[in-house]
Amino acid sequence: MSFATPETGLVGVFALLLLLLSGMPIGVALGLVGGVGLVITLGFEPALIKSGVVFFETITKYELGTLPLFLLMAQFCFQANASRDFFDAATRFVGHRKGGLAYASLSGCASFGAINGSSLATAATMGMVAVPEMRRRGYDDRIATGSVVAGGTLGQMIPPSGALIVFGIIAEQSIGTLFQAAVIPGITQLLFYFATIFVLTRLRPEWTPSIERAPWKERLKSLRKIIDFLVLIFVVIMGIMIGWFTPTEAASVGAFGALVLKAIRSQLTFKSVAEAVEKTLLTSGLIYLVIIGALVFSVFISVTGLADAVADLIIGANAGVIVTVILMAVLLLLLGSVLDGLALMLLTTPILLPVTTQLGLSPIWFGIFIVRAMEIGFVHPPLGLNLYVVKGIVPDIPIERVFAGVIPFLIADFLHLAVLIAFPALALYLPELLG
Amino acid sequence: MMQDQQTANPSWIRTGLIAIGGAGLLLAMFTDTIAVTGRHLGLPLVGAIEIVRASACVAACCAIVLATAMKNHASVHFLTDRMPKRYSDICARLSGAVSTLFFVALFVASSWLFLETLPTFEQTEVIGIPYPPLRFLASASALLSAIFFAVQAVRRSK
Repeated sequence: MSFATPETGLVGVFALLLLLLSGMPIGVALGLVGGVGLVITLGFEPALIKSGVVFFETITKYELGTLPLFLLMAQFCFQANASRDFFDAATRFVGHRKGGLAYASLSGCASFGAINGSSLATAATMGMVAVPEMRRRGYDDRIATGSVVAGGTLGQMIPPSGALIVFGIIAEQSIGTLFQAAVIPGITQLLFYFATIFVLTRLRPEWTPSIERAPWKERLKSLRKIIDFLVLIFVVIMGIMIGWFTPTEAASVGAFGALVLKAIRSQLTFKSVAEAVEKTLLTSGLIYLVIIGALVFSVFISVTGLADAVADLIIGANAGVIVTVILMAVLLLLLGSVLDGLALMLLTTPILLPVTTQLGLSPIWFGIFIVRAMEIGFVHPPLGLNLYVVKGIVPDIPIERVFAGVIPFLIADFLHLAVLIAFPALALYLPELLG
Repeated sequence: MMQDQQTANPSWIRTGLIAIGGAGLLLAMFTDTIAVTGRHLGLPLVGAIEIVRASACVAACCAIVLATAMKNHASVHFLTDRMPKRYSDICARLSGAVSTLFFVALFVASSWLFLETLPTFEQTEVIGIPYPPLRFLASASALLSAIFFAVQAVRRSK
């Protein structure tokens, strides 16, 4: 009797949910369910060999080298005070406008997100810089925290993005193409947040008191402090876009460039490099284990035929592409209420990706879509992690105020997701243009 | 996703892992940077990808062990944070034990492949970096991670 059936796959998905909720490391839970599932469906020896092959191939995968190297670049830039300098420059340029500091904090998040591929790290880093400054200037707690909680997610969308690298590995898609596809959604997401601030400042002018206009001399001085970072970001992103180098090479060049910038700023010490390396290795180890587990799990799902069964069911229902995608978005948002973003992506990608390809949708678009849905999970009360990261920075602000602050941005997120579903070209135009 | 960095592991383990893993990471960084520069100057660095893969393997092995030793692996705490302490402790102990088993399985699997491929003198195509040391490192990292998980599970139960 063969156990390689969709029902076995479904049992595996429920078992995985249970293990995840029991607090087991995400990578172990994925790998365990995948491994045990493979033993049941294929037998002990093939399951063991497959797991061993996945383990070794993952840690020697050239493309996956992108991730620790981009993390290293982010650590070097963080040590060189990039986050503060970005926020300071944005404050000098737009701080005097209505809601200017909130715009500045979002611009800082976007700029730092172009160095750092993590939502949590962007929210934490910019939160430490921007939230106290906004409060000092009399900004309402809700807009101060809300803008950083939401802005943090830009780190996940604007290339280089850790989530897109992980998706690229799991879904076997080009990381370079995913980065290209993320540019316009990243920029439009920022514009949606700007629009939210614009509306908020009109509805609640008392939330954002005016501050004095910085003279041009100060503005140019602050610009000089970030020009080197901007050049580095430009070289890294454009280098990938126009094919100067692969994403892995871009990560190496970026990390090397950041090391040089540290040296130019007289901040290069053995201790600081060791600290950056340690933090990079800690985060990389976490992600490597998750990817190894996810790959074993996706082999199991593929062997059971669960993804094909789900696809057949959906296509058989004749619900149409848009309705199906909306249902997928609802499922992702519901699961995102109890699971963290990475677990959500790794659990659903092996099942939903074949569905989207059978519907004739691009896997690259799906990558952007699922990362966008993941991002919403990061800011969605009551479990969104960015909410607690920012709350940790300002413990005196009640969490309910942080929740209230993020609601307008959450509405913007839903609208942006709807636009992404209605106009897939938002993600696909640039990759098609650049070939 | 929560990360807990409380640990009682000796500092030499941490230092050793950071030194070896960091060396791998920095070697990958310098190799790729030189390769890109060389390619645009018409002086390609032969076998750069293979060097980066090997260095990334060293870094990844150390990273997995370090993250385990420092209890830095991602987990979902939505339910366990809301449980009475007694039950959340049981979950944590079970999680430690199961994680140990998972890494033991990875150790067995990778050691099996290491022993199977040892007589074939596997090496990379362009510059001939031998695979066995990398496979050995992968097995060692799985074993070390299993040991760390086991120690953490035992300590918690005491």
